[in-house]
Amino acid sequence: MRVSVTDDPATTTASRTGGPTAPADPLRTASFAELRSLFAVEPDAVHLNTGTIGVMPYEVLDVNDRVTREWNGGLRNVYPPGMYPEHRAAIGRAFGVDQDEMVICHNATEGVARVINGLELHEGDEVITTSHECYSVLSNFNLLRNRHRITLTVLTPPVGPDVTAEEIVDMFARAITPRTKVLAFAAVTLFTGTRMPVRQLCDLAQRHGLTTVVDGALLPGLFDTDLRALGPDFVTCSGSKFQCGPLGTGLLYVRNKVHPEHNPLPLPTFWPVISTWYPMMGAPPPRTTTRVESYNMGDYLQSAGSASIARGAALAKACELWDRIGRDRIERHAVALGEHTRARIVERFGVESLYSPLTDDRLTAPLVAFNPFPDRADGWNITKFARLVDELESRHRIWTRWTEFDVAGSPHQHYAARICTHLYNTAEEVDLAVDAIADLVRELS
Amino acid sequence: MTVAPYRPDTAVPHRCGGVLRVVAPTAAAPLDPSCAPASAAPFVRLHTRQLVTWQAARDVRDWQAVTPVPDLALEVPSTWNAGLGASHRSYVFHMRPGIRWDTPDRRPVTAHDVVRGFKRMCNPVRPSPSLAYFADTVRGLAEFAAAWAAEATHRAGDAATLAAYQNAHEIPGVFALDDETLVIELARPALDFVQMLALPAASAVPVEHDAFVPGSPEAAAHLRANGPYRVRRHRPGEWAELVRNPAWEPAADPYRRAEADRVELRLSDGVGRADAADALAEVSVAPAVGGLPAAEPVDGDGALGWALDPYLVLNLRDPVWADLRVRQAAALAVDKAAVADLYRRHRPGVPVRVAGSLIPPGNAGHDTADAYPTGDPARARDLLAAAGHADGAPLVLIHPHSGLGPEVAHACATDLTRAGLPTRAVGLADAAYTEALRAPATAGGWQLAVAARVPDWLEHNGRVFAQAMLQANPVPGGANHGGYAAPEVDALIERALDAAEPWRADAAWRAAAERAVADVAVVPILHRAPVAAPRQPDRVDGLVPLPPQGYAVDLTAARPEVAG
Repeated sequence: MRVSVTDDPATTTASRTGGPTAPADPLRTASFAELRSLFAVEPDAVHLNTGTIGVMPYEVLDVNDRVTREWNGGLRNVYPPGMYPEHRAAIGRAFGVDQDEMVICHNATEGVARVINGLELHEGDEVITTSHECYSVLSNFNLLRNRHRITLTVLTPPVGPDVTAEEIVDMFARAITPRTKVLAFAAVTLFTGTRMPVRQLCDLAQRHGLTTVVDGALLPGLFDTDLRALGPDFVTCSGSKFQCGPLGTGLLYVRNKVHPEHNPLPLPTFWPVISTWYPMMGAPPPRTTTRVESYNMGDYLQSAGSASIARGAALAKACELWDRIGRDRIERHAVALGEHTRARIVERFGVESLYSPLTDDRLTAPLVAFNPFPDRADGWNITKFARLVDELESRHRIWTRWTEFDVAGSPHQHYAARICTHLYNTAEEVDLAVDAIADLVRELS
Repeated sequence: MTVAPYRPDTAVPHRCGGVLRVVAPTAAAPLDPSCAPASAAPFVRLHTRQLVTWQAARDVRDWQAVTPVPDLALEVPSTWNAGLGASHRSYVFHMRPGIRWDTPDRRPVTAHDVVRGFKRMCNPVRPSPSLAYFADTVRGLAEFAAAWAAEATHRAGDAATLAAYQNAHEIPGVFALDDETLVIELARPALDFVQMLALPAASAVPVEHDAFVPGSPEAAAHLRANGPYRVRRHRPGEWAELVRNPAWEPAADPYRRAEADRVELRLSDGVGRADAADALAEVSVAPAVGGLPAAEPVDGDGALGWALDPYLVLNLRDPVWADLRVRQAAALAVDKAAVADLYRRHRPGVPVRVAGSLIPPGNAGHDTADAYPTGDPARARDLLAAAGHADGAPLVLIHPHSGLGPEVAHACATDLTRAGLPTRAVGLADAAYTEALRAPATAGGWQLAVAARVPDWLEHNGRVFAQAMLQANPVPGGANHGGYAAPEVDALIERALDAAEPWRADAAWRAAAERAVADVAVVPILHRAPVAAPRQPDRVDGLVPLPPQGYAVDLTAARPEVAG
């Protein structure tokens, strides 16, 4: 069946998003089999690669198309709606933050570039990050290294089934020096699907007076997240992965007030490097030291010339659907499927095949990276992983991806197959994929 | 990144064919890639191919001319094409299809052939002069070379023994995943690693070469080609004749041509043009010292890749140099301005500057400082007196016959003698001179040598001066001809090699070079602007430089005049 999610035309600009889902909303109680019908999933395909690109709900597609048409060829002022004030407020509520702290941007890469290049860093200042970050994080910090001569310390985090949150926190703690100014890390790593201990790392950073930059590309739409409560200064998110908005959408959280219970540090100096409405003379007021913002940093960042009104509306629609379904429900479903995936992988390929965490529940996410080949040396054979993923797609229409990353203590670049599960996936799909991988591994070994 | 290859002008019709005659110093032209120096790259390029190469550029300020382009490889690995990971320590190369060996079966060139090439550059009989670069960069390569060298001390050096060792051992960081895929792992990230892969040492080598000792006359006579030409006849040290390689497919080689039917290399120990009377078309190639005769300067101040040309090597193994004051006296004795005048007379129009620093302009780590003002014989004599230096047998200053080697040597010998260091200039044929620098312990006693150093590539290239010339106890190869050893300099070299930031590497290279000049490990005399061959020598057209290969012309594109 297809769940009815008809819209009131008067509310399609998402002015009604946010807040607790009304108990009567059928989406809140719809089964996941029913919810699957909301999505434009190809009927004979198995989509297990949401970590790269999610599937948009039909409604999101419709909004994108309709709003594009509405604003095409008109004479109306396109700038106010491009600031997305209502969308930002609604989305902010869904993630526990305020409108002045939330920005709709073009993608996580753009968001992280704006954050990194807006930091107040000087020659000799140190940034600590990891080799498991998205390349857009590492390339932008390298840009700062070349431009401002900062020191960039790149750690390789531990991987595998037995890794613990304490090991990861300890790795960062040992690397901090008196010159360290920033900790930068992913909320969920794209290569091994490790859910980093964000709160503990932010606590660590706060104890040392450090700014935290969190690549949260894989957070929204997957985990029911209160960004403020996590304690970071900046979080950049994708709108098109687990949140299933259009390509070319992202979210950016910038801490713009001080809530001591979450992060008592003063707000870091930050320069909104792409901004139309940053003052053209003079400077904004001093940044607040209280729970009340001194100015709307989100507006400065949101004002970046003409915006895609349609994409913003479509992303807001996706967020609204998530709120109606219940972000907690979605997280439980995806996580349960992730657990099922890990169990099947361990059963078929052995626990040692896992690059993703297993035993520490705090680190697990529904992105599971593993080496299914019995010869461990195939773990650094890019051709086998590329072939495996290609054959899964061409023979079985199962969409996964391979990832590449460093492993501490290994001289090799390692490769892994990665399966991501989301609300539109089923345990049967995971079983189908694991069986197909096992068959292909026999053929390729 | 893909860049458009240079193509010669097509507006003017021309005819392929003819015989291209090239005169080159003997030392510049060993054709066996496993032991050929970087200076031989323009010749090795005729018949071999590397993972990456350079494209010729008519305008040498064109940045594309100094950017490596894929040759045997289908693409230069990058994070974008998934050939390079975040740590920049693992490179994946996919082999370009359609490249074949000049063998009866016209076998495809595979990733395994590149692995063989890497192993063969480590051979203990005639290791590549570029080995030190790779040993400090590729994971396990230094250990592989050292173990092979140790094994060779109690094994025969015949081809079968060498091949047996080579094929029974692996370099951990160089391996083929299959025929089409090669992985090279680095011990540490290197800003210039891709540039290094354009050196002759990184050529693919076919299994047929296992039958011959690297660098031997037999190997030279049986080289198998994958480039546009094949070696038909070769007498090492004298001449070589290359003809078109029938296995070469132009469609699989975007950066070479095969304009001439035949290329004749005439190797000269003398001063350049020899026996040109019957030449249909002739190109000269740079001698070690003094650049090209009748050369044209390349864009003067703005050019990349100035040369340290000339400089004096002090053979620090000789006790005469034990006292720093004696070395300082030698540095003060040389009238660098007079040598500059000498260059200006013989190389009119080529910019030169009196050099105080080791690394010339247009290279990473260049410093304008001059630790020793030029030509102060009185101060030199004072230093010698303070050191208690007593006259003994004259110092021997060796120099190559080619280029301006004799003129520079005699000028320096006169200066040194005048300052209280009696010196005798001894000219050597190019091959003997090269051997004397390569293996001073076995090549006869010398205390000084006139030398020149042209960078082996042009970006992030501090190591081609500082590491090659100063690093102590390197694996065989390099250009530390004087045997300089200073832990502080070695530490700076390590710091430079470890640096992920170009500016940090440059600072370390600069510091290493400054320290070595203060130690008088060498005496820099001049910095010379790059020079290229005359654009229009008689009866040759299509001469386009390859800037990273010493601005030598792309011989595959040179078009000799064709009668009729």
